[in-house]
Amino acid sequence: MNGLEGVTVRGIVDLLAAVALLIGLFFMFVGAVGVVRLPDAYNRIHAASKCVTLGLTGMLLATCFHIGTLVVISKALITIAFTFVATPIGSHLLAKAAHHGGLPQWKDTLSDELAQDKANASMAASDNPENPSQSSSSSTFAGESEADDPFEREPAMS
Amino acid sequence: MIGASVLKTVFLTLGSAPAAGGDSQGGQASSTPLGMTEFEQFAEYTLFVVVNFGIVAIAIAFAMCVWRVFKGPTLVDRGLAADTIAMQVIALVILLTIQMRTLVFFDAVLIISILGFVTTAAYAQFIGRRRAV
Repeated sequence: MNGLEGVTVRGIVDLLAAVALLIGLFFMFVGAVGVVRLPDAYNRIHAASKCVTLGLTGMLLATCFHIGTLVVISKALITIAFTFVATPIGSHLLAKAAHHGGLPQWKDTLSDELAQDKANASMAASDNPENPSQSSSSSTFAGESEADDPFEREPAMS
Repeated sequence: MIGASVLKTVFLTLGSAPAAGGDSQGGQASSTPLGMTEFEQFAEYTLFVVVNFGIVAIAIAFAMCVWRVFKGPTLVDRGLAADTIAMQVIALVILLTIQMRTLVFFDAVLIISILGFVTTAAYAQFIGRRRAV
């Protein structure tokens, strides 16, 4: 059969690169559509972080398949590892800063568990009981203590 | 009418650019002693079609995120869209690396990734200081 003679490793690897590139492009485009179409800043953060991470991973894997050099593979793997660590941390920082600054949620969002946790922690400490709607009024105090420790439990406990 | 002409231009670009890639590929194949088989040519052609389609798709996604940067009602939206734009610049660098057959740009991938993370962290600090929507 002539078809089996022409099939080489390089062609298969190029087809794998095309498939990985298509998957990555799909995720990148879906992330951009989510950034445009979703109703809320929190929902947009959700769309952007996940889709961008997966899309970048797919495209870097396509580069690994197409150019098989050791240099390219090592750089791509380092970039994939860094992206898997850094993108969730960045979007988490952004979402926590938004919630800390009192950004209102979408009207159909069902729950706000961080506000409930903050209210419960402040009521358990019982020094300053307040409901989460007033937490924006005390954000100057939290902004001072937020400068040195980035964890959310710490200002409520101290 | 305008949309049809734009689509025709895009499809002509998609049709002609892989042919150019195939020409350069033919030059490389003639330089190598072993010619490419038909399956390898088909794989190269598919990859170049996908790469050209991807440049168009990433450009559209880039334009959408730029619209979000201008439109976005809050500071968080603008920062988020800027972070997504950085990731799409990385995607364009990867596509150009595959299309132009050079490794000159590939160092920029890790650097733009680190720079995007640092920018997002600094922007989150700025939003948290300024308490604002």
